[in-house]
Amino acid sequence: MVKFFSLFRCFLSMNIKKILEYRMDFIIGIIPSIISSLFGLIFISLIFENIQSLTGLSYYNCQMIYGFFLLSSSLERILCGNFQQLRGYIFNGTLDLIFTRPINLLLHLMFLNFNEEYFIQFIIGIGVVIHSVTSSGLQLSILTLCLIAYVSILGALLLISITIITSSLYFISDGTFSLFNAVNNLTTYLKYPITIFGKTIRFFLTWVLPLSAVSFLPMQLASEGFNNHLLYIIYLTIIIVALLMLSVKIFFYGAKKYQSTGN
Amino acid sequence: MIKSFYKYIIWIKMGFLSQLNYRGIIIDRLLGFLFQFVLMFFFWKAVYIDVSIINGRTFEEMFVYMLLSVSISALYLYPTISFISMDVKSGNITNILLKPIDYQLQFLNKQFGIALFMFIILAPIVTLFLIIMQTHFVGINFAFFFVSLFGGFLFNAVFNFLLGILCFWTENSWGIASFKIVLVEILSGTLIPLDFFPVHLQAFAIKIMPFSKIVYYPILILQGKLNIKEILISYTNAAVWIILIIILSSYFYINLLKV
Repeated sequence: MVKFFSLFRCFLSMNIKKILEYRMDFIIGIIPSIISSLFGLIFISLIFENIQSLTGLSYYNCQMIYGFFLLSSSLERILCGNFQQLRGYIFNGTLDLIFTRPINLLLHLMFLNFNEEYFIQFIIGIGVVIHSVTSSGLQLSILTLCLIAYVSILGALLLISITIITSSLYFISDGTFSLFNAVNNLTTYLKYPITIFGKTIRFFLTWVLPLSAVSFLPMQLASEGFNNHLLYIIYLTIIIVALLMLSVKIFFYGAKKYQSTGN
Repeated sequence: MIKSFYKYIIWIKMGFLSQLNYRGIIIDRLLGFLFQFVLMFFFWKAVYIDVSIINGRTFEEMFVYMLLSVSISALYLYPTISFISMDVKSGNITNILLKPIDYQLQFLNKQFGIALFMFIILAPIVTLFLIIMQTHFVGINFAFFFVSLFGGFLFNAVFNFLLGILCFWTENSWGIASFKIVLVEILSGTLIPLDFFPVHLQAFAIKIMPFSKIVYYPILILQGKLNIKEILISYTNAAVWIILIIILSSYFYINLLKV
């Protein structure tokens, strides 16, 4: 654990120095992220100019769901944003270099580059959640807030597990195949309520691959309280921790099978 | 003349074949589009549950709009701005300048090849969804649609070239490329039809800015929502912007070569 934090500190300071060196790039890079995150909010308000509710949920409920989605997805991208570039690392030989270092491969890939635009997205997510909660007049107890934070972290861990599993496909295929795009398009729709889907998909997203933890359940905890959801949160904890451990095992299994492209 | 034209046609082929390199990536992207279309269907079905018409569109028309907007924007997803940035930073541009070809035309033709590839692989999925939705388009609108689509492609291509040249004066192309993607996605009507925007922004976004000619106008033309006068005005607007961007990019390109 001490090694983890000292490694994290080294990489973080390296990335901060890079940001300070290329300040213009940093500013140009975060502006699209801010615009894109804010446009998601604008999209919801444009839709609600024409409708009263979306599957029974109000405008502020949908805003809350979007805010929680930003929180969990940005947490996942802060840690696992580099996994999407794994293909590039394989082709240019960076991955071979990473393999030669005496650092845990998973941690090394996580900390190699910090995508600063996702820190901004995280802050925007917090802002959106606070705004939607206060606008709907909800008053949340400390326990509810803690549970909401806990479930959001579980949601982020689930997204991290999925990213780790899909990136492991790059190892086995030598960078020629993955399901990043497909999974990304799937998880993007978590910024809307899962009640828009049919019963089968809803069941799948609640009990099989519980992506409802990413955005929908935190909204339910904020709106309805936690009394009806405690057992489900325990179920989520077991499933998501198990999936995380499985994803790490799959990742290292894939890493063992990796054959370099010869760079 | 045919020979000089042929040397650029080769770049269309190269752009096309470059996408065939990794079939696994193609499968991933196709699956991604399929998931996106299915989830989009559920989303708009839920939006239309209590209303039958929004901004003059029924659910079927809205879904077809979003289906086509995602498909058209996919033609331009490839980060072609980075080609120029990589050529300049690696010094490869000096090799290109020694060849008897115009760099901008080469770049445009390569983009056309990439867009053509995406068009061919997306066409079956889009056609399938259109058949399922029982969509009917008037024949002549197809002709106007393809002219408008080509105009949108040309604007996007010359705009990419301009931004690629401007990347020379920044440290890398990633920030400008990200900014362009977000700007075009919002202002072209990819994420939501431009008539959803507040009234005071619609005139600016739809009639003045060129990005609406990339996605919004081609789809409106295909769905038969514009008369011939409006179609011709959109063509003129696109042509003016294309000429303006070509002039700007030529100016910056000449300055780049001097450096």
